[in-house]
Amino acid sequence: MARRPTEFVVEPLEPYIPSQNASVPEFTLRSIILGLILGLLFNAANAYLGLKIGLTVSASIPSAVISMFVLRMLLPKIWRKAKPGTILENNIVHCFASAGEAMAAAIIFTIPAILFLGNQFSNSQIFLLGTAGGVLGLMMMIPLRHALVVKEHENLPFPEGTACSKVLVAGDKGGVTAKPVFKGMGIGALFKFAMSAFYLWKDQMFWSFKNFYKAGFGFEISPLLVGVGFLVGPRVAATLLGGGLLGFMVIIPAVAYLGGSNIVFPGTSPISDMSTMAIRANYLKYIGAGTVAFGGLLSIVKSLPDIIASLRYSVRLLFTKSDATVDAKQQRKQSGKDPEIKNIAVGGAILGFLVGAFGGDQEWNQLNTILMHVFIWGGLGTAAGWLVFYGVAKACAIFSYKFIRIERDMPLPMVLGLMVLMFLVIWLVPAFDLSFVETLLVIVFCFFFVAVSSRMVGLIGNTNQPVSGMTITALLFITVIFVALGHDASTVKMAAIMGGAAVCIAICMSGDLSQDLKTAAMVGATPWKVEVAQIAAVLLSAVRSGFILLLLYWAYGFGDPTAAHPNPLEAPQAQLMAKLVEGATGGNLPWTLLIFGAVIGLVFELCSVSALQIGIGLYLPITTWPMIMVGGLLSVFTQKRAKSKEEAFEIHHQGSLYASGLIAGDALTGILIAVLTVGGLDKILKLRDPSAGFGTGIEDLLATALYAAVVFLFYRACMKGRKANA
Amino acid sequence: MLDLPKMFKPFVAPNQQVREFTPKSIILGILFGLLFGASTVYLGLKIGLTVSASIPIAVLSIAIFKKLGNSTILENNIVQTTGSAGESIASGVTFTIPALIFLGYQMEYPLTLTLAVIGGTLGVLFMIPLRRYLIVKEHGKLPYPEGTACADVLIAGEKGGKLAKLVFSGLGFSVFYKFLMNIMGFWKETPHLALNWMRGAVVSAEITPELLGVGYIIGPRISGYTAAGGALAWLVLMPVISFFGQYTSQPIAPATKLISAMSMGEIWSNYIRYIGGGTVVFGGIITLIKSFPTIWNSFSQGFKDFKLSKSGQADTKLRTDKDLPIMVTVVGALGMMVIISLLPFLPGAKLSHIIAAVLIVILGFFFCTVSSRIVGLIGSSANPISGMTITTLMLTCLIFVMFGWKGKEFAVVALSVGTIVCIAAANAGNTSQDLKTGYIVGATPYKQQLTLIIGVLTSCLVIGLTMIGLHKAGLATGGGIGSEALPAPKGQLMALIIDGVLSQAMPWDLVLFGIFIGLVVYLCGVEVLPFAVGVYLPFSISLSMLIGGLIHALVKKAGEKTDGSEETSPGVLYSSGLIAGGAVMGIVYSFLKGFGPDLFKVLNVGPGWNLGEAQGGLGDLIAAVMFVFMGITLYQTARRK
Repeated sequence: MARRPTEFVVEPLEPYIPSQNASVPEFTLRSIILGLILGLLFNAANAYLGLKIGLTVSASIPSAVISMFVLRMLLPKIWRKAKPGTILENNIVHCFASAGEAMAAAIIFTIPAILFLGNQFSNSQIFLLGTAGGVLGLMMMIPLRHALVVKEHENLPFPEGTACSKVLVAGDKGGVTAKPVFKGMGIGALFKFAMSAFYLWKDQMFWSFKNFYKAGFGFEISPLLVGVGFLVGPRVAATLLGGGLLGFMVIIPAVAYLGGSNIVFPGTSPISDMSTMAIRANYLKYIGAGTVAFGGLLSIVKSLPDIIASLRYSVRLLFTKSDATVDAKQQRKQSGKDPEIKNIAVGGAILGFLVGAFGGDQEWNQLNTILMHVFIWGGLGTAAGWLVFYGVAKACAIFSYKFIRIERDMPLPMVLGLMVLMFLVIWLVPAFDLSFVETLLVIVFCFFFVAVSSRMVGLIGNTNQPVSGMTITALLFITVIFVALGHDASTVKMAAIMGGAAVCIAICMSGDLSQDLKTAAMVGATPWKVEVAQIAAVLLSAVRSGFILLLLYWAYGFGDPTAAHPNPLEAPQAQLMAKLVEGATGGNLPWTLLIFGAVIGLVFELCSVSALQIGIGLYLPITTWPMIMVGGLLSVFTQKRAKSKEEAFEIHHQGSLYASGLIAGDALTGILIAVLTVGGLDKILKLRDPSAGFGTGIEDLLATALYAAVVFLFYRACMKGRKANA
Repeated sequence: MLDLPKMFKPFVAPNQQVREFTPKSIILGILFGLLFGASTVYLGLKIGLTVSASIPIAVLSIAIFKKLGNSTILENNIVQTTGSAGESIASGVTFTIPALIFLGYQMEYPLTLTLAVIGGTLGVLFMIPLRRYLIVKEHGKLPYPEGTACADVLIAGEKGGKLAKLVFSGLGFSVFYKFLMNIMGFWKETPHLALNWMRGAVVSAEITPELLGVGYIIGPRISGYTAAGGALAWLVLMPVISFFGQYTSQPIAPATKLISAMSMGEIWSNYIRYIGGGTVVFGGIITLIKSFPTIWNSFSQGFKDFKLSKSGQADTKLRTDKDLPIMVTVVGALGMMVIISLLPFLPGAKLSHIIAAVLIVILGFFFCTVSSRIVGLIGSSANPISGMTITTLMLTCLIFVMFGWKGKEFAVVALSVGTIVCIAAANAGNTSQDLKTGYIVGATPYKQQLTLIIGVLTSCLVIGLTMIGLHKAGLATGGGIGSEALPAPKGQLMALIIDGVLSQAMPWDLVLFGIFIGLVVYLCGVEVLPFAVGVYLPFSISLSMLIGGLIHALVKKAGEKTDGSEETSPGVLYSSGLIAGGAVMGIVYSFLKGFGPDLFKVLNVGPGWNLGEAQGGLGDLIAAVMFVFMGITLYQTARRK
């Protein structure tokens, strides 16, 4: 359960860069380019991670650390003339990256459901959906900024935003190193590539116990797992493993024990003929889905007081005038002349090119198509991007003149205008297939959950806020209302998923913006620049999300194993969403199994254990969890070896950076391998066949030993924190 | 030294010298022990009911000593300590010994007596090193609801005033409530609701005042764990069994019947029993591992004290901190081992006796630890003694089979192991409640331990005699144990299980399921034992306790009025009264049913008015209203200044 921090030290909100100081470069070209790159990387890595294990990790701190390394250390070394990067530039870079991460999470939670319902999605569809949902979320959050971030400073801790601003400030004073991230990335990438591209060793062990009714146990040895375990900590890791064991050591054998040679719905063959994994796919997954759905809905019920308070607060804000400090009138002359407007316009041009060139649904197999898209659409996009972003930036700069620098938001008319534009996009684009009333409904849900999410992330943090619960709730309501409104039965599922996805994206983006604006307020950044950066990041993420999703789908497949894709990415949340839509539209679901799952959720909630975590543990294969547990144990063990509290904190910080690196390295290599696979190069790279190799025992030992070496390196990296402090 | 969390101030200060271990209190205690021992045997055989006797004895003792005049609270405590041993051993005996008869073994007085004496004494001896850990060090964590209630009753009798008013108002309400419910039969004790949308799921609650009080005292966290275990068994496992099992056309071992033809109770006894047993064992192992350092510490401290006293140094310990020397436990346990190995009337190879002796000490210590921790956490009513006995038997049989001992004579040896461990665990639970009571009122531990042994030895004589006597007298008229007159329901149950275990159909798979469930909840950071007990127990018990726990949570949320310390908060005192009243009425009810069935039939008018049976009837409604009403009185009392 999301716990409200009861005690936190309130420091007065004094920005690190004071408001009067307008000379610190912020939105520079290099921060845009670095932001676009890091945003791409973290978006891709999190999409892979989320599809694989149903969890995403925060990109804020690692991206801030990398950005500081590049802009402050690397660039001045390569090019003498370059000035070291400022804290505000780093802040802009981190905004890009965190927006990429948030968008990735929202998309992988929902969009693959389209596939599970038997439809196809296209690149342009995801682009438009991501843009519409994302921009709506951002625009709805902006009017709340001053109240949430500044006025409520003493009441809302904003855990991630505050932590990130501390890292940025520490980096500006010269106390942060990005080494662990890069080391982790290197090791993660190397290990993954050698294992999954060259097939030098096995990537997972799995044993099915014939003597104990096909109970199963095993572990996957992907480096990102130990990293994730380190970041989520031992408590969560153990709960996830607990869920996995409940599934594979209790429920699966119980089904085999009781089922005998009977055919039980939804299975289609006798249980005695099924393998462990077949029992999982036919029964356990439905039980796990019931637990996750129960946990999601319960998290909404439990945070109902927070939801109501946040909603009342946000609605009240709409009717009060802003009381931000009014600055001297002379500002008006200068405000329109912000030198960074042209940087933003150039950034917009780059973005426009990418959108124009890669946002469509073209086949990339003929030279003339490529040329046409890259030159014609890309060129048009470049021009449009330049114009739009120049206009937006100029307007922002001019119309916010009456506020001091750190209080300048995007002007309200522009916010409203963009909202209307996105409304039109959702309503009119045929791919969404939504009527006027249905679009209105989606917008209302967006507003409702954005109002909630923007404040709730301040209260309990992004990691604790019940995104899946909100999405499940929205999706169920949307589906039921669409059916009631008489939507065509053959397309209603698709329309509901599209609507639900837009809401989910809006929730994630508004939560992320809220957190980033807190960081901005603490380091003293200019709000409208952060907001513009977020819009750019949304556009960029929307373009590449479709690509990455399709790429991973082609290379690995989603959901249940098939002959072509024996080890698919699970996409657990999306599978759940598909099942829910199926159920809400009257599909034939094994309700008994779902109810079993829900009651299991109830059992664990009675013990104050999160049903969501148990549910995810039940849902995914057991092989995911043991190494996450190892990561969790590593985080306790390393901190226990510290001599003081400060040292423990430093060890954990170093470890977290290394863990982020491992995850990014592994996940990005996974995407690289997907590219190679789609390109048909995977057969060439394969050097040996570990499943035949030296025999099972030796192969198991070899792979485990190599993985143990990775864990040991990880341990050493954590312990660097000890020396750094000594 | 153990580091104590905070110095607890008992009712009688450690430096106060108060009369305690007096002849009159021991004699009265022995008399109560004989009375309750004998009557428990009779009632256990006849109606299968056994009720904890500590509180009733304490109430009677206060009353009798008031008449005689000039007595102290510690004397009353000695009376209840001595007397309660008889009841707990008797219930262990009636649970196991009749099973021997049902399985076709001759039941002889010497064997019965030996098993009872050894089991009872071991239960007391093993609690000597455990006391510092369970009672002293974990004072804030283990509430020992019945022990606390008994102490409250003793203090209320001594002190009077506002405190007594709270305890006695709870006691009065509870007696009245149970009189109307059990004796008049105005409403059902266990209303239940079958969930139509879920095959095989039933929700029921045993709406007794003592469970409500226990739930209040143990609080929302532990009662939540127990209820969660219950929900897992009754709302997940049993529905899963009946869902997946409904299609099979042949019985699934260990059952001999089709699942589709089974009642809920049969599903429970064929499958859940073993799963729950496995979870309890896993929880016990975790407990033992966690408590090992403290137990070790306790032993080494004990040996150090022993050496000191040998070298003639002055004993500087506080009066309330003096246990019997640890050597008593060690020598006692070794002595018991020798006795078991040399028993002339046990059949089978000598080696099997030696192994049995070793098993008794190891498993006995293990289950005494588990039992005394469970009763500390969730109370005596939730102690899964039968689960421990089954597990002991299964392990013993496993080892015997490994040695190739499969004959009928070895079954008797294995059964003896099970019986002794069962009695020891039952008595360890009782002993720990008594020691908790003593800790709160400020008794001297070694005197309690001594008098417990006295109680064990004296009551065993009578218990064995009563049992054999009843059986022999019954046989003469054609109605021994197992006949209509003395059905011994719990013994029959036990025999059924033992038969299954001995006939090689040991359901290890189910036990393994249970162990993995224990591992899962352990990984989730949940305390395993209360959860495990919840899996094992009927859901009706844990659900009622959960309601008590939730009332406590509500009271806490609204702001509990306390006088500074946890022990004297009005809610806990009132709950103590509820528990005490429940125990007193339990004795009255079973006496009435056992010794005056005609009078009972006259009083029990409810069934005649059709208030008892069908689901959804008027009985359910009245039951729900009455239970809610009792909950409201508890809430109101707890909130009152």
